[in-house]
Amino acid sequence: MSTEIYHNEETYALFDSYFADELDTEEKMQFEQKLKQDKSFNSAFKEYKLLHRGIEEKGMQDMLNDFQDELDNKKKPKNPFGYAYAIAATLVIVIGITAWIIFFTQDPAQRLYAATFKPDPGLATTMGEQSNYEFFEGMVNYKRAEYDKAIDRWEPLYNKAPDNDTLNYFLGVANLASDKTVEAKKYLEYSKTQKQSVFYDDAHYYLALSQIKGNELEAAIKTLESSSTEKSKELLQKVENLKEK
Amino acid sequence: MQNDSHSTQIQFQNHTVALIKQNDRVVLKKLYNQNYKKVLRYVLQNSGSDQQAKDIYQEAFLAMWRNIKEDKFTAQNESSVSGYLYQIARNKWLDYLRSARHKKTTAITREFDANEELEENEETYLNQMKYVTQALDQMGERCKKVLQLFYFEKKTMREIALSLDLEESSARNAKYRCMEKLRSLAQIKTP
Repeated sequence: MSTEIYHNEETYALFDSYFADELDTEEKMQFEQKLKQDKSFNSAFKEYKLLHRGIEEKGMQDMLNDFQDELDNKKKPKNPFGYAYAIAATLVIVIGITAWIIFFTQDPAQRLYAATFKPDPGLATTMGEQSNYEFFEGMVNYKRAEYDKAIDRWEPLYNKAPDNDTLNYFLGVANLASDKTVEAKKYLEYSKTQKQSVFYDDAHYYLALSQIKGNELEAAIKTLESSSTEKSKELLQKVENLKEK
Repeated sequence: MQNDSHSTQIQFQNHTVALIKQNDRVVLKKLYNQNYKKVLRYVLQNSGSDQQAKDIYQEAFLAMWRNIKEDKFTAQNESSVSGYLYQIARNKWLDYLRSARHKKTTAITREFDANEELEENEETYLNQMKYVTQALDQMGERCKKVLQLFYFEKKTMREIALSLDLEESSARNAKYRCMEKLRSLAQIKTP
């Protein structure tokens, strides 16, 4: 059975929608009718399902190997302080790299950023309300400096509530912490507009940092001028000094 | 098999089951870590090695995941997913012990579970999966990433476009072209 006529972008998009249960009742009925009546369509859908599942199988295999590696690595320290030593060693390396960046990087804006940026300490993670479960699980990741995992948890929540000030703010800081400056700016720019938010001033501060990172010193100054906290003023002073040089 | 007195537990379980179907990394990792030691202990106590325990555990984990995706497993109580996983691992190990190398071992009894009984077409399915996963390994990193993000991690096209620094329409087109490439590499043909 040749399925060639159904190998096009539209049909794949339709398969995606059906698979994700995004079609309305009428569309779904038509789709299922077509599956019954059109053998080529039916075969094309079967092929699609196999590929889809194969991609998931591969994803699962890779993920399980990751899990196992993590379990195996956890076991390695030979004494009870091994883990602490590992953390200490990592810290030394991180501090070393940071110092290296500060002292040897040519770009003074990057130097200022590296010397200043510390992620927001995050919110207390009391698992009270069921509805906030995902958010707080993400916060646990965030506090462990697993920013990508935190972002993965928060993005779906953000898609449902793009106006939420807490999500915008922490997605901004988490993206900045994992060096995704463009995304960080997107979220923080929005936080900046939410005047009632408790994160209003901090959003300015981190937005300015992301602008410094991107060498947009003028923009950073403008951002910092509309925030009144001590740390914003301090940072403003430093950016202005930098510009004068 | 629903029981009203356990409706809260079932609800919880269904939530877990739904997340497993979505390939949720956090839930899967928790399940993986929670049950690994138990399976490891069982295999080691039954003349297996560390490596064999890992292999059998991953096989069992995949089988559990597949059955949940196919709705072949119905949740009964809060710990039933873990229990189910352990049971599959245990049965797989017993099957292995009874296989060619261990034909003489007859003392071990195996609990029969219809849910994970090998189906006739399971072998065909696993073969097809092998073609697709091998084809994925032959593809370029970018294609692999687009397909993984969309079909495995269930990211939206908007998120994918953003992370690849593309227009959403270009990301959609890239996804389609990568699927087509995967199809030709895997040589998937259905009757």
